[in-house]
Amino acid sequence: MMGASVNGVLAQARFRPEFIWDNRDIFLDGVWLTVRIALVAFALATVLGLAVALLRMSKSWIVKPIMATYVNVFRAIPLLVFVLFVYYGVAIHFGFSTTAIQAGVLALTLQYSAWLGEIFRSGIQAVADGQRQAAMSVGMSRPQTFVRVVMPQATRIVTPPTGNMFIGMIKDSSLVYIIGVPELLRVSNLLANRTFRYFEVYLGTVIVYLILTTLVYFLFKYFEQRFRLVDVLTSKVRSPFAKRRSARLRQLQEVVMENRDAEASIRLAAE
Amino acid sequence: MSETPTNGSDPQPVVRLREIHKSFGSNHVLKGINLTVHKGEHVVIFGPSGSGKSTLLRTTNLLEIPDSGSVWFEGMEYGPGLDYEDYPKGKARMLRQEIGMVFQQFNLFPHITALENVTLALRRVKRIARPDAEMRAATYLDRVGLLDKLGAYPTQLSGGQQQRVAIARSLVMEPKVMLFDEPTSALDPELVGEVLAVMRRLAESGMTMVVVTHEMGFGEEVGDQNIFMDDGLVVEQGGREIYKNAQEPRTQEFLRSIL
Repeated sequence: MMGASVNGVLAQARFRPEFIWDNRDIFLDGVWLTVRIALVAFALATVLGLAVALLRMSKSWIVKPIMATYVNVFRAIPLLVFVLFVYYGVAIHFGFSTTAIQAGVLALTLQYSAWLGEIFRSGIQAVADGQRQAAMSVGMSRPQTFVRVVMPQATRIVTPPTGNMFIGMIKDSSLVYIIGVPELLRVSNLLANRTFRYFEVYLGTVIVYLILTTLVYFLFKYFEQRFRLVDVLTSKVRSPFAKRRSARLRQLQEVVMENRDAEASIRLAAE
Repeated sequence: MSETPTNGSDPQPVVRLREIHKSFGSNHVLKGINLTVHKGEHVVIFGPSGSGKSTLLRTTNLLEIPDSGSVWFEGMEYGPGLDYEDYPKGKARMLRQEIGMVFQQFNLFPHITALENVTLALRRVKRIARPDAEMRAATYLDRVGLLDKLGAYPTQLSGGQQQRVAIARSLVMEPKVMLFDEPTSALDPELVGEVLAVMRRLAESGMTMVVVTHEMGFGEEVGDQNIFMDDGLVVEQGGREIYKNAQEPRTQEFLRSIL
């Protein structure tokens, strides 16, 4: 199959879309690594970003400037430069037994934790102060208030920008090709250099990235829809879960109405 | 009208604020407030904006920690305290479980239903199992007339309905005292009545209440202790006659200006 590599300029000029399909195994290997790198780096960056956000809101005069520096440094360095720095500049130079993949993931994680940290911080701070006061006024502790009241609201606020960051991660993961990680861009480069079918190869690469980012777009769109709030009792949603929920509330209403007369109930509202 | 509990020979104090001072930066908001709230008593606080009414209320359940002074609640002392008296010290969280608060902006949790708003603290603070918590919460929502709104999210409710859910959210914790911070100020005029009606019934049921409000009619109806505050100080306090027969010129002037 690879033997037909140098067939002259005229043959090269003819567009052969089937070339992409014929080399699908090579693309798929690359995509699979791209997906794994993006998922792992994004998961780590999310955890680290949450820590960055919380520490940046610390009142300590020592933690605050350290975290501000962290964010500004990692945001300031171009990612390609940073990938080279982490692998050749640090890992290889100082003889750490780090693989190129690990170094690439580390570089992506650090930079994205800075960006995500800023997004999460803005989301947490966008939750109105009255929410915290209301939670504390019924006796909830600070951790309870954060987990039960602030976090769920902040999550809804940060979902769209976080989706953008995930799409960014998939695209930026291509930059680790420079340190020899055989992800999608790297295997595409190798294939193109070997076959000279630059148009077909990079068209295939473009299509694959498009498919990946479109999938992520629909995933986050689904999340945003899940967050839409509809009255449980009058909801038109007919999922088994929604039905169970509204049935339980109806039952609750009936029990309460039955007990109304039994206890000498204090009616506070005008009938 | 119901009997004023303070008429009894031995009125039982529930909350005592003593020598409360609070500043925000260079702004001295509370300048030594003393206030005793007795069991079943309805305290109504009024005064111009910026006079420290809301801060006083928020200090009572320690959402603001006073710079100096003491919040005494049922034999325990909270806040910085007073040096010359020795009461056991209490934790702010314990106090807040026993003192309910209703806010001007309702502050319902927008991401959960009305029912979940009312069960949240029962389950997480009092550790009551879900079926029992839901039963209690639904009963209180029924009392404020919102049994049909169990499954609604706050944005689907009118302002008056939201404020009634907020009242149920506080009441379900069975507090000893209820604080109201201008509960009708953010409402459209036609919705004020339904919230005031609930508060009136609550007062008649014997609940101890401290209400900051601009609804002078409410004070005239249920106020046992009526307090006019200005510039961080209690200017005048008294019974319901204060609204018709204020003694202090500043009180008279304020009452004239809002009528």
